[in-house]
Amino acid sequence: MTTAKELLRHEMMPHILCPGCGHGIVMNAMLRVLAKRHDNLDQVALVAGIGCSSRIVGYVDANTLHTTHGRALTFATGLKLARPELEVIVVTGDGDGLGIGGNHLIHAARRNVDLTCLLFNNETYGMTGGQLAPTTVKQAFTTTSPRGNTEPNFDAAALAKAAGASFVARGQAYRPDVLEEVMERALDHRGFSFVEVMTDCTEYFGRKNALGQGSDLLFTQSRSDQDVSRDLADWPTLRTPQGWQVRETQPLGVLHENERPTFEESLGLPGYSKREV
Amino acid sequence: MAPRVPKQGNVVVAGVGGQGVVLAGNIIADICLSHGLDVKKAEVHGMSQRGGSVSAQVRFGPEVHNVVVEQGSLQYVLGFEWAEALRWMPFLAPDGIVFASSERIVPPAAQRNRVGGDVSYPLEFLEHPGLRAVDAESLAKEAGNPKTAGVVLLGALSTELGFPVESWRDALARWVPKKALDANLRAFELGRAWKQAAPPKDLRPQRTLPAQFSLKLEEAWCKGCGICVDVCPERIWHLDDLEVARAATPERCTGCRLCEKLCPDFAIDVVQLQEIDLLTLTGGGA
Amino acid sequence: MAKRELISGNEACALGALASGLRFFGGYPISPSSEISEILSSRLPRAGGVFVQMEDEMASLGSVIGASLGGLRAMTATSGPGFTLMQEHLGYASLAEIPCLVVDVMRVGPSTGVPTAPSQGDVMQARWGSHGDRGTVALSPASVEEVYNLTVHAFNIADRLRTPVVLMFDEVIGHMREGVELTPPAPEDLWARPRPAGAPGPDFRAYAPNEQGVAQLPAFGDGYRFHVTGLFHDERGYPSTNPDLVRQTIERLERKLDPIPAWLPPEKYRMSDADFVYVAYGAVSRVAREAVDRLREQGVAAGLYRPRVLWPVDEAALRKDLAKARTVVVAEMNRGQWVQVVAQALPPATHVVSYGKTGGEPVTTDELYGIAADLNLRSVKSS
Repeated sequence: MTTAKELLRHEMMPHILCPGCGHGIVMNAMLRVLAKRHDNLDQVALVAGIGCSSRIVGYVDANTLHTTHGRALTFATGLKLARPELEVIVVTGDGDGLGIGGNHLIHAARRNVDLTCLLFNNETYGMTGGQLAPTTVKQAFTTTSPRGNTEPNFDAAALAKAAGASFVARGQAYRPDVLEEVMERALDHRGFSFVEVMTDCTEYFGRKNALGQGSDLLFTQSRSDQDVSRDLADWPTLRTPQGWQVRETQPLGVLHENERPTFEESLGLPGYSKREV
Repeated sequence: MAPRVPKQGNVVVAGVGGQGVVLAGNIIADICLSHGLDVKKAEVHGMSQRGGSVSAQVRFGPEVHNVVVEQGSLQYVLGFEWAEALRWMPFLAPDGIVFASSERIVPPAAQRNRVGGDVSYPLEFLEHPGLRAVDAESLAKEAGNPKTAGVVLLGALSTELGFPVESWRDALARWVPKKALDANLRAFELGRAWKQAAPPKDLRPQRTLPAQFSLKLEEAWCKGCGICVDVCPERIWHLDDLEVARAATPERCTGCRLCEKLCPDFAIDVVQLQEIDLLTLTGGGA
Repeated sequence: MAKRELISGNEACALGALASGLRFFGGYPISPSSEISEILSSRLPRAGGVFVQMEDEMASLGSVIGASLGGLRAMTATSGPGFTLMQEHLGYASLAEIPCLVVDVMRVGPSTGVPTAPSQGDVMQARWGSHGDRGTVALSPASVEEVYNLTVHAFNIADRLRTPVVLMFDEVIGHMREGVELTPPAPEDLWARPRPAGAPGPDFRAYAPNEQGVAQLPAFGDGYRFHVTGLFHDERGYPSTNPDLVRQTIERLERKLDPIPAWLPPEKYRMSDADFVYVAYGAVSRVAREAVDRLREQGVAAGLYRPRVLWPVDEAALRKDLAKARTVVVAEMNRGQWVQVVAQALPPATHVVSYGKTGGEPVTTDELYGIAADLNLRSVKSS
């Protein structure tokens, strides 16, 4: 059987992510899922935008496309419609997918293109130095919210669902097994699958908010003890700038799934049926 | 010589969710009842959906009040899973017998909650004179249904308890689904045959358990984040002076793969070595 | 197809694209280019292609690049404000060497400007709109038939040289109707992309250039696995910050476009003995031609030099072609954009005059004729 490690471009490793970065854990889970499904990734395309999370596609021995900031979904849409038989996975971050690329996210969800979008949510712009993101929770400190964030944050999963995504799920770097399960189901789903993955920026977000680094930061995710939910609950803001011991409870697992015609089916694309599910 | 029906005794069936532990306990209790004995049965289950512990304690005799087996008085353990069998060793009477399936199902949740790194306890128990390890999994497959591994152990127990063998067969017929009965009866006979062929005095385990997993580190990829150090339940990893992960006690690895899965840098490989043969360890087997 | 039809420039563009084997169109509505979308939304699916209306211009060109990477001939069409939004992806397609066609039907800017009065204000945007140094390709047709033919050429250039190509024409050309006989290209007139060199495997180098300096990428899904990025990259496509590599890549991407001007030479009208030359493209060239005829009637040795390729420029050829000219009037519907190219190429002795007209009204023959009068050219009567 193929292993996750065999799907890496070894000549590119080690990757550029910081020590203890949650993105690496998510990438690890993603490759384990792909290793279960494929002997090689000839028929898999990974399309990414700009940012730390988007960089990971370069390390995977697949058809990999590192695009412009926020626009990965648009490239992926074109590619998928041109090659409907490919399994196309979009790797994006919260700034990439919800800030600069938010418009593309809602439209890809609305069209129900048969893509799987993995949004790595680290609540900050990591690559540019830890600035305020559209997902940063209120009161959190970033390099551009020195007195604590005053803006409300997006609930990415709720947004994707409202926009029409036919599969919406949330996972965590801290629970790689749940993440694997969710990713597998997302890939199996025909239509636009959106998976938000909570993963922490150890260098900026963790440090700025006294959440610690490495495993300390990772373990803060364990406070979300509600394992699997079918509801999109509000994220109660339980953190205080004083302690930062408690992180908000986030429903994990598959949050929404329905069957509706994919964009490819609506267009009657030949070749689409070749994609095995 | 006709089998002698026991006057009193106790049996613990231990395993994990889905192995039929409760059912096996019911069968034993049913046989006791059918021979006019008083029976009390206690069950522990609940966290059993994903490989969590399940156990059934059966106490029987002319009159039984206490449902719980006390330490030092346990006569028989049927271990459907290796580690679950070992859990009950402290309860054994000096001449108590453990029939333990060599199958090992590592419960992820249990791995997370374990602390410490003290692996000497299973080694101690390997030396227990009453330990009988059986490859019940293979025998069950031979019987035609891998789910009958527990019944293999019931077969072994039937040679010890002294109830007539027909009582066991009748009880199986009452409790096991009809379509699976044939396989269960075959498994039962295979268990009996195994027990009768294996002379207990030869069951001498080796001193040490060889490593079942090897830990490989891609040194150049390790960035020294220390996640493996903190997540390993066995405390195998540490960071050296150059902040590179090192496995100080790789032989303790239980294969939970937390380090491998939570390593952001793909630096750790947990490689399963050839499946360890507990039968050779304990010197048992037909 | 040998039937004479009355069609517009925008229609000719759509038809030319279909004749070229277009298989993917991703666009966003904007005047005065929308007819191209509208026609293709109906015709392209019937031809076995995919039409998608995307959510904005960045998405449009993004989807086009994605489809092209899937192996299809792909295009989008837009106008000034949308063209501005596409600049980042034009830069991406240049560096990542993804063939694609962007049609820009020009209107008055900046910003929303005058919708949708004609202009030629995007010439410099096409050249320098995306950040960084990059070679660009911009073709400029001046008739409905030429819109058709240059659309075919644009795809050919895009594929052979693996580059984005801009086909730009002013609103006058886009909405002008002419009776034309369109000749579809023969199959051998459609150029293919360079074939990947080497077999799939660890030694495969998608970005190893061929003799023409062009990367030889396969399509995604063809069994090669490789990396495509907007970062500077080595021959495997892997990111690199090596200054030598970056410098060489920039130079190569510009140099590989060098053959284009020779493939599509300029139109030279009455140029053999001309010492007074109009340089004009698009709709302006059509009135300049009339001005030349009127000047010739007056005995002025006038001519028209009409570039069909605005970018890249072959300066030596331009200098040679205009060597006899003593006065060169560069007439454009902007404040003087391509005139800078001409002025730079010609020797100081040549009198280069910029006639740039803004405001959204087309340049007229009288205006161009008038310039000659203003310059007190021999035998020219003031009108």
